[in-house]
Amino acid sequence: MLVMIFFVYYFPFKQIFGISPPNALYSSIIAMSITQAAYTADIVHSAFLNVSRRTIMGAKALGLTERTILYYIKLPDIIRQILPAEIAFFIGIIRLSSLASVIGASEIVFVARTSITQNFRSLEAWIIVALIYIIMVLPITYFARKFENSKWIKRKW
Amino acid sequence: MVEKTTILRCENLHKSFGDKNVLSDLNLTLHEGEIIALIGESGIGKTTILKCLNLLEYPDKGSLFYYDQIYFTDSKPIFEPYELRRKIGFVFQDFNLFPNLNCLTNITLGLIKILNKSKTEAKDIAYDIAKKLNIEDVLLRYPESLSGGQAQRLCIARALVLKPKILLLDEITSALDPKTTRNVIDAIKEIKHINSNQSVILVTHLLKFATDFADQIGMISDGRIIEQLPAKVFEKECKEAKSKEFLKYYS
Repeated sequence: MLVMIFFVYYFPFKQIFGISPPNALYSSIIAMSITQAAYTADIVHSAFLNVSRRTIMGAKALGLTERTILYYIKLPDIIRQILPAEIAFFIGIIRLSSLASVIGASEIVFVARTSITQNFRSLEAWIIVALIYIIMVLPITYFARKFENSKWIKRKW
Repeated sequence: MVEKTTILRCENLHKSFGDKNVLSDLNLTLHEGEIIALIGESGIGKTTILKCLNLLEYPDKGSLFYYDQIYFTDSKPIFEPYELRRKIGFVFQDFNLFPNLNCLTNITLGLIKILNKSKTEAKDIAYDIAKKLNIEDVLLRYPESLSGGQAQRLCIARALVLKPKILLLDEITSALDPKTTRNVIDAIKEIKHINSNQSVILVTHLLKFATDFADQIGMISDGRIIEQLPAKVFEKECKEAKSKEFLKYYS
């Protein structure tokens, strides 16, 4: 992640594409998007391979079209599989966004550090940072759990 | 006697998995309302035959006909396979139910998506068939909570509601104990009452069931049907050495 941020930030955009390089904020956003996309692709891919071939065969034998099978049979199974990993990773990205401070993007940690250097109240600053992170993460976990238990996804016994 | 219409015909079917030849030169004709039982040793390609007929596996060579219409030749289907699969129901040995849907939806999904029924209509039809197969009290549960017999009857119901012209039954009783087998066989016999003109191809290890239920028995060996006789006389009149040897294990 850190490497990715440096890579995007110091990438010679001007020399290769003739466009001006993105500033620190955009560099971090681009870097995080690329990382998240790559990991997500892998998670989804493995979930796709993991859908029971027998269940699909059962659906095919009925004469359902590929689209129906995808929506009613494959997708619920895939989402059920990827959700925990994906949520954990998503929350990880939020935490890792603090890395963007190394290239001077003005995100929370960067702002906290600056304010500490001005008034030396580090405990208060870091508590506020922690609170902001918690506030960002809590709704995600809440909705993820709700979604996981939704009728469409849930497998009941 | 009136000549019955041929509903399904396969000609010179070949199928191999890697080096292993599973089907070689298989010919099979199914008439309207006829029930053919295929018997033979395990691993000899009986399931593969059914899968090929339903295009769940594509044969390597050979042609398949539905009525007089060719639907598979030169290793590719003529039209979309799902069009055909709607006319040919398939009941699996290991059920292959949809684990994320409850039993009712397992049945109604096909009705709604394939026959374009409304939800209430589909529900009525599902309850109707569930009553006949004696599984109406489990409809709101999920497939994982069902016993083997219930799951198999659900699978039969799921295939039957779509009113397929042909029903393929793949060793439907081999995962079940004798009592449950009895129940499932009763359910299968119910098919005859639901639609007396139902054509069925079934693969089974139960010779008695085959003789009682089927019109014809085909003995599979070396990837083709080596002998096909009316079910009632199969035991007495079979001539091939392999059939006799196979029957010996039942006596």
